[in-house]
Amino acid sequence: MSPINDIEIINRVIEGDKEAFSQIVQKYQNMVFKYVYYQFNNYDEALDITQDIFITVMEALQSFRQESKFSTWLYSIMVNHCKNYRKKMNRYSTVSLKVMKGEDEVDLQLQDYRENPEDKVVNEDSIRIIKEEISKLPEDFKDILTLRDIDGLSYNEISEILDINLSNVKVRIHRGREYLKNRLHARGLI
Amino acid sequence: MTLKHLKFEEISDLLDNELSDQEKEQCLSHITVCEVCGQEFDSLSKCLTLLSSLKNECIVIPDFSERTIMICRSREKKRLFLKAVPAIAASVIIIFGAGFIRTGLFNESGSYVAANLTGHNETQKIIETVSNSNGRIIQITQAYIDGEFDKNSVAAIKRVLQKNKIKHAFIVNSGMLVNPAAGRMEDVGFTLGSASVSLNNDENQNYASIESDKVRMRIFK
Repeated sequence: MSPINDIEIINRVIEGDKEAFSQIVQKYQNMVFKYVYYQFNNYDEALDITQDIFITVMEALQSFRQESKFSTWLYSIMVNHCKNYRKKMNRYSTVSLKVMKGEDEVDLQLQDYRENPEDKVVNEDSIRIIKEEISKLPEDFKDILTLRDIDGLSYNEISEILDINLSNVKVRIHRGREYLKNRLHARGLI
Repeated sequence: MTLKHLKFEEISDLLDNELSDQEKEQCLSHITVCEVCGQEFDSLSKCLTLLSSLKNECIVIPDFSERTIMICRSREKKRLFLKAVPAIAASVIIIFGAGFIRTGLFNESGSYVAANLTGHNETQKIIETVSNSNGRIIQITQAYIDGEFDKNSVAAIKRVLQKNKIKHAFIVNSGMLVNPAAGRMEDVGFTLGSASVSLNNDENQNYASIESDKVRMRIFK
């Protein structure tokens, strides 16, 4: 579904066709759920939080000014909701973010190793270990690696969602990856 | 080709296609000949492969759409109700407040006294009426108040009593009441609860025939 269709659906919802919002939910619920699930590593908790995120999105739909893609706006709500949830539960330390806008996205030219199906031969044990390690990541690494390396968002989108500048996005991605790579190496996974 | 080992950032950027063509070529050339950097590249590549494999992980989740819409609708109704609550509360306060004030259900200290307030107010009204008419109270019982007035004040007193729908009768002598409606005397015994005179306050009174400047009146609570 194209972004234009998202906007069309949103306009319908705002005009009173609440049922149309089900299309938005069905389109994004897997992505939202997985992000939340990898943040908290708890299925039931992730279900509740995902539900809350969609309620928040629907109720805040009037405030969506259509200056960015709807998906970016939804991701922002999702990320903030998870941060607030963490604060509320006092389970993790909090992160302060600075406001700055970044540059344009760089064109893709190199082969994307992560999308190569042959490389994705992973067994259940590997999945379990990587999930454990993601859940143990410091919060700012966890956010950014989930958005970048699981959801596959661009640096610019991440910059907008997390409300941090592009260079900060890159630095955090590098550090997070190095941290995770060392953890996976220590567990003999790579 | 550079002989210096690649930084982790460079390898990460290489995997993210964030390097220029020239930088990319240099890094790839180095990786092919440098075992250390090659291993680092492979490790990070595997790490990212594992991460991206989670995107395709099949996790069964329920459809959130129906519940989301239902909850939002319910919360919207609740919000509308909560918005209306102050108006409803204000209306209730005004209605009850007006009712209390009208029925005089507030006593001096402001507390609400449910019992016998009507009787209490009537007694007060009667006493005030008598005293405002330069009259005097002869006796007060639970059932009535006997008062004495100048003949000149009687018309004014009767107006007040009629306005407040308070039963009253003129006392001609002990044990006898004159019914203004009937224009004749009746023995009511002057005992509590025995005054059975049915008075019609709208009719002309017959007290003018009483031979005295003072008129006595029994006012029933």
